Amino acid sequence: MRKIIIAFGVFALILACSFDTSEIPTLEVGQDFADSNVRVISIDTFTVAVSTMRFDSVITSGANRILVGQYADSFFGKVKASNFIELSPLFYELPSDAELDSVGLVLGYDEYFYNDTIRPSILNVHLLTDDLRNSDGVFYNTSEIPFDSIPVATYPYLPEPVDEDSLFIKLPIDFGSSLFEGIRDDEINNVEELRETFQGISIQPGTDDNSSIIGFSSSPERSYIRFFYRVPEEFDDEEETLDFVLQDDIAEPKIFNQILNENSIPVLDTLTDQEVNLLSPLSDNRSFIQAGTGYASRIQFPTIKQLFDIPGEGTILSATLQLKPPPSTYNDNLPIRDSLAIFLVDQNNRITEQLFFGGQPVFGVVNEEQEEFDELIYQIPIGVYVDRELNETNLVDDAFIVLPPEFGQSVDRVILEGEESDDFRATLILIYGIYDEDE
Amino acid sequence: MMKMNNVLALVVIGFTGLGSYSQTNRLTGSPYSLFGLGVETSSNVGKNASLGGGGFALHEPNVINIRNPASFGTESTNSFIFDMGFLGELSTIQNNTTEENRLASNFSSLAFSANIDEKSTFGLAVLPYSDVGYSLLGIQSNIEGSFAQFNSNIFGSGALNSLSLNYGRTFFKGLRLGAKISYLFGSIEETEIVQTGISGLNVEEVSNYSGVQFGLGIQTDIAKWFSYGGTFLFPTQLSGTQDRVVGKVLDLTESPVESETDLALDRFGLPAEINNGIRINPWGHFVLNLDHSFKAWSITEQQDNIGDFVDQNVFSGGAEYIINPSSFKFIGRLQFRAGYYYDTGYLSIRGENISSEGISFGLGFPFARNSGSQINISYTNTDRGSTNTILVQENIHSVNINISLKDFWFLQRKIN
Repeated sequence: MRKIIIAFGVFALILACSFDTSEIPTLEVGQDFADSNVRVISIDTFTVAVSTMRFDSVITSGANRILVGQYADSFFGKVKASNFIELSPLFYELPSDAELDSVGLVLGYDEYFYNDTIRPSILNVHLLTDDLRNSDGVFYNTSEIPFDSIPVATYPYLPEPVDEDSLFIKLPIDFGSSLFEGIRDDEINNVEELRETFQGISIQPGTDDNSSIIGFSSSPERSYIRFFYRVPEEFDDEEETLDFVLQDDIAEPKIFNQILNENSIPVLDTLTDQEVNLLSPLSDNRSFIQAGTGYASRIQFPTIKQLFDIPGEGTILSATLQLKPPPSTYNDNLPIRDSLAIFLVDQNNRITEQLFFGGQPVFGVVNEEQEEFDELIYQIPIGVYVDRELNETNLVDDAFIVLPPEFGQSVDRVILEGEESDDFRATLILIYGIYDEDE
Repeated sequence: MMKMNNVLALVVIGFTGLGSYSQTNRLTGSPYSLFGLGVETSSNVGKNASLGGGGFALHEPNVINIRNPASFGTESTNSFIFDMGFLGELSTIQNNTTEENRLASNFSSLAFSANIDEKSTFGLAVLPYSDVGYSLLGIQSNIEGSFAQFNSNIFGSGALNSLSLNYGRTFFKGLRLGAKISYLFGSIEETEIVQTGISGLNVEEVSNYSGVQFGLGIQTDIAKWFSYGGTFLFPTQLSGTQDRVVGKVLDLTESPVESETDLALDRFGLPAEINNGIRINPWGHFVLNLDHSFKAWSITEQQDNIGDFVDQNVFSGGAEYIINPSSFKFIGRLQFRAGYYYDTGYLSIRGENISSEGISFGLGFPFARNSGSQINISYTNTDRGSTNTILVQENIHSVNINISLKDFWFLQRKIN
């Protein structure tokens, strides 16, 4: 019996000792001792086919920017932006004895500008002759609402989008008094009744302007039509204001920018339809991007499946596309944005989805390290896209497009070097890991 | 009837032992376990570890000697021996510049032997055959086609176990013959984590090996003070399959790459093994053993990542002294042991053999006078590898504790 007790004791002792104390420590000393079983190779020889495509139309409604101006671009020709906006009061009540003093349009700069602001520009304010409404519920860069050809106000100015806060365009008292009295005399009590006399305005650049395109904020606090009126009191008149502001609605937008270009370089005239792709070797080895007017770079990797010719089993560990804008195509007046948005498109160049990187949209960003000699190179991480292309079994002629982030409310342009450029070829750098060399 | 009980207990406990192996299996921290199927185990049954690891000619009624199946034929009556081992290993690993310590410890072996009749015994032993346990951090490799490098960490763990059935018989006085069949099985898990920039690749491979090896043994008592023992293990091949799971982090998004099971692996050849040993008992209770093992690895024509397999020779010797086994004083019954071995190693890395040598000391504590049960403790100090070139030198302190219980549960019944 005693022995059995001893035996159990010994057993318990052994079990107690047999817990796993061996979290294996790290072997820093083995660094050179063994080779990795994985081969990692870097490949930059796959063809990057860069072309230019143009959207038939770009949605510009719902913008938080009033974009107005005109300039002559060396690639896109005459680029013109004008704004269409419906402004209305938040309430329709005025004291019956109120008297209108003056009325004016206030436009608050949002610091956006493109091209040379030192040149004089003109803002023409036209009255719309039709409602700012359509059946689609969206407006495009090509949309237009009829307006009175004679402007209600013309405002020559030198834009100071960064230094100044806002500008004030005096509107004729005749224009103001009919609206003011209509509201005061309870003839205009809601937006429907307002539209019978006032459908909104269009702000157009001067016909012959060749200066800049300026952005103003469309927020009710920054841009509005202001009525200055007084209410007679016993001793002194009380001065008051009534504002007409943008009251935007996602389902029924009340603002859009018309952005058009004409007389571009001849090769861009071939882009008559959204499905047409202009290969960069046919356009001076360059690809052309312009926000607002709908030009975008379209990129494909026609030879990417040759990756499977590498023996062994492997997988993509990273894919970086390098694109370079020729330094001669940007300057302080024609600035280049430090990022580009990436979207997937189908064979008809319809956008199917935005590309993501770790849950965030993919942006091509300027690589600071390569920013030598003031030359910028965009680096676009497209590993997920390339991985998917490789695993796609059927051959779909899809692609991805590269465009500036504010595509619907700016005229930012980017010119990119194509795949056969002498200066810098558009390059795809793949990092490929082979984990099994036998198969 | 009693014999049946022996057999039954053996089988039941044997399987219990197998079960526990699959869970706790890390008995080494040697970076050399990266190669082949790992490093040869330091696990021990009985007292061989304290005698330099050999002992092919040793034969005793109270201790299991799994080195030679013929030793199971040692004449005794109604004997049942149960041996349970624990291994703790503290190693210091160094190269030219760095030094590191690591500890591995575990429950390491189970063995039983039971008489069938007075002249023959069979035994079952479960113990590791080879151990794997390494982690190599910060391996820098070149990204081919660029000047950049990538970083990888490699972790390995696992073991091959051997379940061996031994049978030994005394054919006539002074000649014992034995045979054994070993089932080798186990899995080795290797994980490599590759880091390149913000991307990562994670390759987890679990390789399962199994195979059967046969062995024959002989022991002969040439004189009362001189015995010879030898064994021959047949070459065999382990077949393997691999389960592989590959995943990656691409553009900060984790995604699976591949999950394959039962991929075919190349067979792993185990070489023929010829072992010879002698036991000398010059006087009293002083016993010497001298042994030599030869493993014909080169015939297997195998290669590893950066090493070749070369023929392996192990030379070892040991001595045991007891003042008086039947002494009434505990100190008189203590068994003092010492041993030494030199192993040329089976792996040659860049022309240099990974040899090892070790000295061992041990004590045997009998439970009581005439009980036959004992606790064997051995300490081994092993040096392996060298710090030349890229190699790593290990200094390993290993302690084996084996509990050897004789006729334990059956003693009661015998009194009945």
